[in-house]
Amino acid sequence: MAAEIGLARLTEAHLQELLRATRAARARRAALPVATLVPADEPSHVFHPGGGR
Amino acid sequence: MTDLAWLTVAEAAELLRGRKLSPVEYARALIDRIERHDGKLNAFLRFTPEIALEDARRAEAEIARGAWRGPLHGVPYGLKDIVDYSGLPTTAHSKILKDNIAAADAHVAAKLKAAGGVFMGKLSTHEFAIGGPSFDLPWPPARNPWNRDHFCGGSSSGSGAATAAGFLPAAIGTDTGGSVRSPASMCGVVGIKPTYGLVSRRGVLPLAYSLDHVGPLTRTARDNAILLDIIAGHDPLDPGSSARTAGSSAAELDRGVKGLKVGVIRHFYTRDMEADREVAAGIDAAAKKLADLGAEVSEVETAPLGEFTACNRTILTSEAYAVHEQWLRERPQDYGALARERIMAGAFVRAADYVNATRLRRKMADAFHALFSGIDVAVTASSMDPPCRIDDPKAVEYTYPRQARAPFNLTGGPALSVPVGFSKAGLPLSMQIVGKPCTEAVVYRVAQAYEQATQWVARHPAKT
Repeated sequence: MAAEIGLARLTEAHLQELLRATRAARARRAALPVATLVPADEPSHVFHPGGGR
Repeated sequence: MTDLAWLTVAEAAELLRGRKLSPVEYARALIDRIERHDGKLNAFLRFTPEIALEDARRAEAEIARGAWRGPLHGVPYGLKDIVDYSGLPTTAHSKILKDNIAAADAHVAAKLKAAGGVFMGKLSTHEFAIGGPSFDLPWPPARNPWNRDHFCGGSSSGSGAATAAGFLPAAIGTDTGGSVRSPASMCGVVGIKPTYGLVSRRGVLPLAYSLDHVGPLTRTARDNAILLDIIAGHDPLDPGSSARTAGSSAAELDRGVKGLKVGVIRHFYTRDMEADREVAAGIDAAAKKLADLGAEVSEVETAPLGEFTACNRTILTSEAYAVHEQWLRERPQDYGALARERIMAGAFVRAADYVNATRLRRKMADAFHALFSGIDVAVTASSMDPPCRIDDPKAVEYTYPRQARAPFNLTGGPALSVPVGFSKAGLPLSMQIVGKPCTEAVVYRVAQAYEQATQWVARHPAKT
């Protein structure tokens, strides 16, 4: 999987780090209350043409 | 005269303007102190006494002919080593950028130069503002001046250590998930993550574009407000820079807290996460002190801490991975282990997860800011524990995520870490004072009142 996204130079130790990191990321995903979202909930970075804010 | 090491910015400004203190004498005193003691603390990654003396001589000449630039004129400061200073390396404390010479000043560095500050050097950081404390990097990590065997927090670790050790009265850090407030908490100094966009990020190496903030660390609330007023302001070349202003941060400093409404987010540090008993007692005592000073103090509820944290880390790791993907593909071995692992957490975050995290961010920020229809500021924990031993990887791993700082990178308003006392072991304890966007003046007002009533800031580490 790592090689598929271009991380082809990771050592075995690095891959273990990646595995731990991915588990941590999955745990965070599980903690996100996405069930509370409805289609009208917009991302915080919705684009503003012209650059003004 | 106060020992020059412990002058505040405000005190130094008065002496320098009145020509009762020479900028050169001041710089030499701090240079001598750094040369004697920083070998044990590693606050500086690149100490530049020659630049400091040049800046000090220029300031002395300008002040002598009446051309005073303001409260930072002739006052020493340092920059976290992810902030560009023209002509010097910006290394991010990493082998990857060991020889990366900055072509121009960061916007904040240019502002500090224009204010007549005396640049003392680049300060230690966690690798790329995320990987630390690390012992596998070209330079050692900074240590806590209160006990050198202990962690000084991060990622603006050198900024916290240098300020607490009396090497500098002011330093600049950055904060993406708590990295100004963590060293402020652990080193017993004052540090702010200002409103998002108030201080330009231009010339600062990004960790996560939508969460990065630049903020000062100082020994007092007044000094912190002074520094923020100098570095804040719209920068049209920073896409995240806000056109809104907060007004002067120091405008309300001495108004006291009588009648102000303070909401304590107690569940962050008692239910969502259980803080160390001394930390919880320190925050509760601080809340009581604010009530004694005339504030109306009550408990308030917001979303669980874990939801804020998960949202912050999903966005942070995704954006950080995007910044680092090319280097991770080409030279993963040149990262320290902690930075590599923490950044790679973004490698398999799905696009839908990232978008959903930003949708939740908007909802959570709106709900949090709605609290301020009934309060003026919120108070809660910063770190859940006193600083752990720096050489105990298990203790670092345990305490590193135990914090309540990340929510306010998401919500974007000001969050200020202030000392609330010391543990039985003599290590700093802290709390955060939080406001809605562009209310830095009220946040500082509460910090100032608390500081004047408790004087924790008057205590200094014994060993430096």
